[in-house]
Amino acid sequence: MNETDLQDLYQSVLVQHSKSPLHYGKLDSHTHYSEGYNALCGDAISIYLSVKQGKIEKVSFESASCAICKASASILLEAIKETNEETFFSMQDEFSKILDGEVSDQMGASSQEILAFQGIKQFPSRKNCALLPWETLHKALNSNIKD
Amino acid sequence: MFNVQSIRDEFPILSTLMNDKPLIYLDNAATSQKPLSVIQAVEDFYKTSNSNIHRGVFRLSEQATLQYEATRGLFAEFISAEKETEIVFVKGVTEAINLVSYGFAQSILKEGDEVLISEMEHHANIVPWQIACEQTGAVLKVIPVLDDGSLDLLAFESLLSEKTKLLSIVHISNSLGTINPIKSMIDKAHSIGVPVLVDGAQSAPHMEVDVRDLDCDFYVFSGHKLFAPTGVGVLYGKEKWLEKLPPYQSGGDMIEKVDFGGTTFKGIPGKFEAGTPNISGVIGLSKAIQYLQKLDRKEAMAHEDALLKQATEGLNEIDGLRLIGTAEAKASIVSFVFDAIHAHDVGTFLDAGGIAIRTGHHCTMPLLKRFNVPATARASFAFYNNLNDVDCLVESLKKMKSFFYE
Ligand SMILES: Cc1ncc(COP(=O)(O)O)c(C=O)c1O
Repeated sequence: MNETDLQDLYQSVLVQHSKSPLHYGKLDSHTHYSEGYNALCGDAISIYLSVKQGKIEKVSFESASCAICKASASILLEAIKETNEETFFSMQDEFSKILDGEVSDQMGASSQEILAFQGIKQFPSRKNCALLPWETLHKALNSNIKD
Repeated sequence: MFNVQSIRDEFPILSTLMNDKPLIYLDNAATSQKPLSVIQAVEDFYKTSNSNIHRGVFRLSEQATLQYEATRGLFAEFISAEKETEIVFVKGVTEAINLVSYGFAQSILKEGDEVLISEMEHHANIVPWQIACEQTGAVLKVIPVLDDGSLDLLAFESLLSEKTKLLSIVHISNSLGTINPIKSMIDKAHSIGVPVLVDGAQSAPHMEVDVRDLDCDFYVFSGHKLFAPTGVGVLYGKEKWLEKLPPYQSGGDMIEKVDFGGTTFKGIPGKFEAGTPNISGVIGLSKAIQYLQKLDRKEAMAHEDALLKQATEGLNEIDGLRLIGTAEAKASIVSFVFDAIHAHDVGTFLDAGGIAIRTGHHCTMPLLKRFNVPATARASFAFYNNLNDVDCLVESLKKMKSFFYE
């Protein structure tokens, strides 16, 4: 691990997303909600969704978390907005492969930005930071407040 | 003169590489490194003396038993305890506090009683008391922490009352470095008959401790933070308290006679030591203590103070960095946060340069909530760290700022 690995980890897209995350804040009205914690580092995230007839119409999150976690949430929410559960699940599979270094640029991920997480494979202790928003969103989809 | 280099030479891990850079180990509050004498003692035990203790009639077992029991007196001497029967071997601070809290829940605490702790406790000195209180109907009271990271001593005095059955307090905060004025707190508590447990996890490695001078009723420390192996620690308890508390675990070794009609237990400290103990760990800890006894501990502490001073000054020069914990009396632990960079990212950046620090809540979640931060970065120094380690930390943090901001 060295400076180049660090640059791979903190690619400029990720740093940008972590500094000005998309979909940050609370949703006025949401149908699904969940909180996620990473006990190891103290990251905490809340995810709000508004799902109508199977479609994820509105998305937002709030977090007290590291750059990796924040960027992951921002990119995830942008990617699944206006899609549905199935899209999320297939992206989730793809995302865990990316984190394990099993997906390369050529394989054509559904979102180019998601590929920016490839650098994490050199930093095993940071994998959970990237995964936390995904796991929390998964939990939120199961929460079903008033759908 | 305190010769740091010759001390460093005795700790083999300090000359290894991490991420192709010389390791700079600044996570001593989590666990310390071990000198060669400790590593070798553990190895020698397994090579030449291994056998179970308090059991065999054969020579090897007798030798192991003698070697093991001989350490008790050493530990008593190390903290100036009056009697070696006041030394109980445990896994570490967590087990020691569980042992005491279990005993208090079983035979002392009643509904409406109070246990007094502080807002800066490690989870190991919070959760066992929450459970003991739940089981007995006692109430957990918490001394607040002031903005500089020192205890609110006025609040302490008003929280202390005849209802208080125990004050259980950390000597040095692992998250902030604050050194609490435990001697005067113990005096105050004793003036109304309240016993005191001191969590010495961080104080035993930093300073000389004299339990008779402090007059604390319990003092607990972990071997792994004291340059010894993991899985071994010490509970010191005044004889009258150890006599009063019931056994914590039961089974082999802690008994005098087992009969289906009724079992009798050993006296202290044996009644608290059920099962085969961590024999090699105890022997490793005894070597660590012998190592410390040869060191000039006052000089070691002065050296750590110099590291703390240089670190504090260096960190204060960095824009956007805020120190958490600025009490006047501090040990060589610095916790800090950046306005715009999360502690976890700080940790990863430093790690790439071979610098190991801790990031997160350091098992003190209520304390971090009090300071309104989700996590801090923490560098903690031991006497084998040098000024170069401090400079590398400060320089790397400056580089990190340009990495994330440019
Ligand atoms: C102040 C304090 N108390 C208790 C503990 C728990 O010690 P152990 O994990 O060795 O049982 C620690 C260790 O982090 C500590 O720093």
